[in-house]
Amino acid sequence: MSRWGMVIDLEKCNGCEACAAACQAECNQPPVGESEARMGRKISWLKISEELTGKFPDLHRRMIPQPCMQCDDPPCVRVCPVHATYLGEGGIVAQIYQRCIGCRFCMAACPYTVKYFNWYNYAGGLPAAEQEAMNPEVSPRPRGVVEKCTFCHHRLLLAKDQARLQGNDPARAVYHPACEEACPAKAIYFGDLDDSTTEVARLAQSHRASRLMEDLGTNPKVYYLARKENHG
Amino acid sequence: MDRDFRHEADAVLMRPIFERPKYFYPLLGFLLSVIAWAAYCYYLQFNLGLGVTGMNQPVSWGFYVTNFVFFIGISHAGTLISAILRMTQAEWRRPITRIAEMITVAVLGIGGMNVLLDLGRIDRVANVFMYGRYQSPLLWDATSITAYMTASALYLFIPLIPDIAILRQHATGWRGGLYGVLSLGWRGTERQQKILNRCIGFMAVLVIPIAISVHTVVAFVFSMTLQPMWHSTIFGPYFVAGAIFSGLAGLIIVMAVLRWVFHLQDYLQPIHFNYLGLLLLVMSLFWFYFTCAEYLTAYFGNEPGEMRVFWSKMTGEYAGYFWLMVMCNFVLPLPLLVWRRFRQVTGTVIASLLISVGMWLERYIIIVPSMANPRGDLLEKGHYTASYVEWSLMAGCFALFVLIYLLFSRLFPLVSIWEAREGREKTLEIVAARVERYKLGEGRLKEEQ
Amino acid sequence: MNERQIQFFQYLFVLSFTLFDLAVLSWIGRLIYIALQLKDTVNGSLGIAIVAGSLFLVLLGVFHYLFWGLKRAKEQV
Repeated sequence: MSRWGMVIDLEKCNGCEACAAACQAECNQPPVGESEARMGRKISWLKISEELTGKFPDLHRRMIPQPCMQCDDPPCVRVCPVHATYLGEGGIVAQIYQRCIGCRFCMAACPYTVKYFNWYNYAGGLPAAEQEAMNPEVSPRPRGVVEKCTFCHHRLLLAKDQARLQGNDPARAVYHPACEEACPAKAIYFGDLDDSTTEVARLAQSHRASRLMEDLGTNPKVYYLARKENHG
Repeated sequence: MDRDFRHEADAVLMRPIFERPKYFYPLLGFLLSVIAWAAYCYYLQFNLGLGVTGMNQPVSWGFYVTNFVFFIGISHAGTLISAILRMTQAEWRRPITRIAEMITVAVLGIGGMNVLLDLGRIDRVANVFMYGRYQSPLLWDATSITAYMTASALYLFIPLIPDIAILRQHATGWRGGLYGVLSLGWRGTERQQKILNRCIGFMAVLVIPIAISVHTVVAFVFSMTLQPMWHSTIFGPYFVAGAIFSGLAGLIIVMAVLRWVFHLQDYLQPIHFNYLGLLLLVMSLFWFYFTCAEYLTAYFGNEPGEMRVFWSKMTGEYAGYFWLMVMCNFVLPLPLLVWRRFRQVTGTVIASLLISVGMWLERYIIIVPSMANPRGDLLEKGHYTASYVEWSLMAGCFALFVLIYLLFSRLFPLVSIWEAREGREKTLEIVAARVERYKLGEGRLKEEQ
Repeated sequence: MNERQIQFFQYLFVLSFTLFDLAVLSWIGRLIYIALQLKDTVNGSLGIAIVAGSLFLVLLGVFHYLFWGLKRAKEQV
């Protein structure tokens, strides 16, 4: 069984936001409009935060892309009252849009604030041309439910189908999410953390690797590679 | 059957039932129009989505959850206080219990309703029954609120039975039928009285742990998450203390209004406000103690995530709410409740009004600042301003509470008639006998040996 | 309303309370069934269900004790 994980090299990331754009297109995240976005309601499964450290002129700026951390012990899953969010195959935290009652407890519980809510019927309100341009592999979300990054789970399903067609073991299928493909700086690595031959598994063990809010015990599967000047 | 109730003792308690007050229809109309407006606002929200509220990300909970906690808190006035007073055989409880219990039943439903208002997909609420999971604190809430609702409805109903039988003697038409059914064949035989007292006593004991569990579990919704200033072991007891505190304030306000509207000065006397004022004082001190403990711990620990929330409350965006809360819950009510001279009807009512505002603010500033300041220093801060929809639904909740109380007052006596009679006729004997048993310094134990 | 009608509604009253209580109990049972099926915090769910379930049984008992007790005690004057 795979345990899908991601490594993002912050020293390579140049903050171009191509990953976020690819993510939005791939997973049918609807544009919410200016006024909604200003209220803090924009839906971007992969959000990019800016981190500034030091003082001018010795200023250091980093862009930190944040998809769902796909925790191994996800706080959002613990609080869901209806099994709408759960730890699915390959350690991917899944969301059942047809089950979700929209209580937003998972949003309140998620320390990374990477769960998003459909305050209006955003996807359904798009013009027909945009509706047609949607990715048919990913269902658009109705009003009133929570959505989140799925590590492009639909691509995993496709990869498994393909493996079956080619007579390979579907459990060993490998796939790549849209953000990884789109990154021009090749800063995003994706793969099976439990398979020691993958680059992801190797980088996750690197001394440069850390995870966000590791001390909370959520065990995220998204690793960040940072410059470590002060460590041997 | 329909003897004139006016010749009976305690006729004033039956007057609102058998004689329609002249303000009844205007008040009913007003309340219904507020509720109708709230219903229209909810219709908008149902049709368009929760976007019509001011909620956003990261502040994904706002007024509805605040009101949920607030109303569930008020509900502790009733059954819990009445149960404690009954168990401790406090004689002055007699005119208060019914009013308190009815607050619980009315407000508990409204509190639960606020969770439903908050749902993005109310049409899927059946999923909670079909696929609910007990790991989620929300299900703990659903279970314990259902239990509290059932128990307090029963606890309201049982002492009502003899009163319904009294009313039946004067009622005709559909009222006669209703009272006939609900009096469960009450004739006041000795055996019936014994069964009734046994049930009341048992329910009083049973209701206390349920009531405490309810607000503890409401607190757990927050404290079970890892969010800064929520993840705190003190939250359960802190919420329970706050609930009893705000519940007492609500009880005093309701008592004062009913006293004035239904001319119950003979029943709800200054002494009752005095005693409840003392309880309120104790709870105010408790509340202040808990608040100090909670905030000092966070401050001293100096954990960065918590400090962001802490300073947003102390000096930042929410400082106004925070210090108003401290004023309303502690600083201003304290002198009103400490001095005997102020601890009269007016003084306690003013203190209670302040405390109601203060406790609502407390719920608000527990929920919103923690959500607006997520733990990670990378994460964006949020802001929250409630929209007119949320304000309207809140107004609707209050109107619904008054409406339920108004309808109740037209059906059942607000002060327990049989308990008032029992108080007049038997209390002195009972209390004298009770005190006789533990007269000090008479060397009785020695004799027995 | 005559005595017969009143009695009918009284039985209806006690029946509806009983049905409500049983509905809550079956809800709790359903949650346990799901927890077992999905192997989702089975112990915790069982713990909560035992406490909550017995509480609702007790409430049901109190109501029936009251109802039938008052009914029987009516005759002994």
